[in-house]
Amino acid sequence: MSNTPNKFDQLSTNSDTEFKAESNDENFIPIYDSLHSNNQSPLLHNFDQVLQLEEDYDETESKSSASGEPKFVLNQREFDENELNVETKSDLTEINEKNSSQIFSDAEDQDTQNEEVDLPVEQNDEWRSQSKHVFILSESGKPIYSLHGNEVKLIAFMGLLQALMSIIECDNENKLNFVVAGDHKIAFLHRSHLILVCVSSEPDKCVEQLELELNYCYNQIISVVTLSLIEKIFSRSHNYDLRNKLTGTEKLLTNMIHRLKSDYGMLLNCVNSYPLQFETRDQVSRIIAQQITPIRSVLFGLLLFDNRLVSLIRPKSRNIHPVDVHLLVNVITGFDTPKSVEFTWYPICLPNFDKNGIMYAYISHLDESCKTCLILLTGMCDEEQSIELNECRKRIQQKMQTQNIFQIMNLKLKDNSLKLDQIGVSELKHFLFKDNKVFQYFVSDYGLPYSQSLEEQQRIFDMYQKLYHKLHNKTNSLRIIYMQKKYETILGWQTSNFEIYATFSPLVTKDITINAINKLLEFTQKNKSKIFLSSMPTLPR
Amino acid sequence: MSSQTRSGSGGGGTASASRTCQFKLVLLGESSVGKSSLVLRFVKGQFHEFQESTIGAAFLTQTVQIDDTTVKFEIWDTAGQERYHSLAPMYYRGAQAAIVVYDISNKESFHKAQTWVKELQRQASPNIVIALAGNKLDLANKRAVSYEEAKQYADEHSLLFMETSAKTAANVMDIFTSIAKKLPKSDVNEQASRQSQNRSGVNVGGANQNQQGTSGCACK
Ligand SMILES: Nc1nc2c(ncn2[C@@H]2O[C@H](COP(=O)(O)OP(=O)(O)OP(=O)(O)O)[C@@H](O)[C@H]2O)c(=O)[nH]1
Ligand SMILES: [Mg+2]
Repeated sequence: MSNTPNKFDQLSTNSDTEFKAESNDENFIPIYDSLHSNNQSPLLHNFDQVLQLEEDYDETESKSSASGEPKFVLNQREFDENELNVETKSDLTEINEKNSSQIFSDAEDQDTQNEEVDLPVEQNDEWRSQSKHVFILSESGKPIYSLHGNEVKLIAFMGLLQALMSIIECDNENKLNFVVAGDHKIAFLHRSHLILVCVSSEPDKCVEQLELELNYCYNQIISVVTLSLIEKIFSRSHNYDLRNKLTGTEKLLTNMIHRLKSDYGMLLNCVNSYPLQFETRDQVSRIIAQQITPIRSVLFGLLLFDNRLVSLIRPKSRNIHPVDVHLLVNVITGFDTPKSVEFTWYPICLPNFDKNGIMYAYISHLDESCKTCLILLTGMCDEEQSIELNECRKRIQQKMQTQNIFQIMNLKLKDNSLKLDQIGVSELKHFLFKDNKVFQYFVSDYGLPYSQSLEEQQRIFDMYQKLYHKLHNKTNSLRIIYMQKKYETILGWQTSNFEIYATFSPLVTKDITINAINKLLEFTQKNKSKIFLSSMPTLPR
Repeated sequence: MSSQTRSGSGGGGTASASRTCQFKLVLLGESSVGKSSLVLRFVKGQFHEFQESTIGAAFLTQTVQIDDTTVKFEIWDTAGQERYHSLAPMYYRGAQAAIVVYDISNKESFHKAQTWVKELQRQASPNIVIALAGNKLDLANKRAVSYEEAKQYADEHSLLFMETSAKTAANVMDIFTSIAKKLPKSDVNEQASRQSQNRSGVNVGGANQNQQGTSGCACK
């Protein structure tokens, strides 16, 4: 729906209306150019959460205090005017109550008979026990994608979701954002003929996170089919099976959802930058810029190491949105290209660049280990062009080889100068620093005992994720959150320039935290040139 | 980029005064008939039971020795999925050779192959060498397209024809070498001029006007 706010836009720009291809370019985050940075705090949003029946549904620690009876939270957003009809509210509650109890009977007085008819038996147990589901369907209820289970077999279930949506949105003024039913949260995203639904019983996920994830899924679909094609298809045939246009890319969606579990860049709306000595990064950037400058159709050149950005060359006046970078990385990590392939030529739509247009990505791995990846983006669909880019890649590769850059990049993986112990506060166990000017972040290594366990690291990620959404919640304007918890003390702090998320040992004192945060700021300031991409050469076009 | 450097790298410099030729070859056919597998067998001598479906198009090169000529294939392995169909002209327009692949155990893929042949004969270069490959010969017990039927079709449309198996390697080398043999290896000028003809209308950007021979057969 054209009025739905775009999460990424909200976070990154001061425009809270639907993004437009052109204006977007100037508006969104200048990743590498702090001069053009957006000084506006990301918190300055319209107050658009009009109705919230239950405050603070994801109450900090009381793990879903839900006492058996499903609670329903309706969050209705009015974008045009902030008016609300109270009558509607109770209507909606009723509708939801009825439907969602059919979907997720909380083993109470519900009758399960209904599901046995709707859902193929083989899916019942395992399928229902999944902690997260993502469903994508068309407005007419045609299944497009399901994270678990064959979407075609879920046709009846999808129909139910569609009905739920359309009953509430039938008057074009109401919007169904989410439903909370016991331990389950159900987030909805209705956009350009698509309905995306996330059903989650993950205890640590708040609805904002689910919405964020759905937005990524939506962008993933746009990146394959383009918005204009979706509009065209569905205006012509309401009942079209969009899977025809998506065949082979389901795994991109799945890969995306999987990455969202632990990718800080995707959470923070940042690119993942690869820490590297300023000089080396500069060397790399100059090699690439020098080689692609003469090829006029090339718009962007990206060099990735370990799926993180080492260098980005762009035209002076244009930028690439972090979400678009995540979509590109998703292609690289989602498909396993045989080593013998010199390069892949892949058509892709970058929704934040031009949601209606296709670009062509030249993708090539530069080293034996396939860790270094070059992506050149051009607007031209031309075979000769791709061969020319291939020659260009060979020159870049050769220059990087003679300057020993692959070796240096590999060594940097074990760089000690960016280790946590450099900060020298033993109570500080981990931190995440986001620079709001360059839209990049730095994440530290883990102190003991977290360094020993991936599960613990995941737990930290989940805590930060919650903190992030709390700080970015439009209904409160908390800038600092400090929580002493059972196993650790965590802190989230947001200013217009940066955000910090940090984990301390549980018995830390406030004085120590303050001291640690100051040192941490010093540390990131000192290492800025190493951890962030900055002052990249631009293309004269 | 110039034709010199490219054929130079193909020639390698070690061989004696033999000629080096460069040809563009494109693989077309329905998804999962085994295009990528044929290429992987040809280029690497490998086979993967769980070959991933190709996205967009993959570019590979392989050099074969035919008599005193070194033939370097520049191979476009295209994605068979329907949504990439509109990109196909980009790859076959400049190609001197095409392998249209179907799966002998899948009748539908044979029909699809025929539409590819039709499209090529209508829209690709008039001199393009087309080979029809009935792949997955090892699945002969599930055969859905008879050898005779395909052979007859190939003859009627003057295509090279072979049944192949990327899995067992049967006829894989052969189909590439028969193509190489059939390609004209002498007439550099004719090739170059045909190339520039084909190119008109394709090349939108300006940066490479000075590269006449770029996509042609650069015989030295
Ligand atoms: N038995 C048998 N299986 C084969 C043969 N060639 C390919 N396959 C299998 O068929 C499947 C598809 O092969 P691909 O090479 O990916 O097919 P493709 O034509 O490249 O498919 P797209 O990239 O989607 O267009 C893979 O699982 C291969 O292992 C063959 O000769 N015999
Ligand atoms: Mg393939």
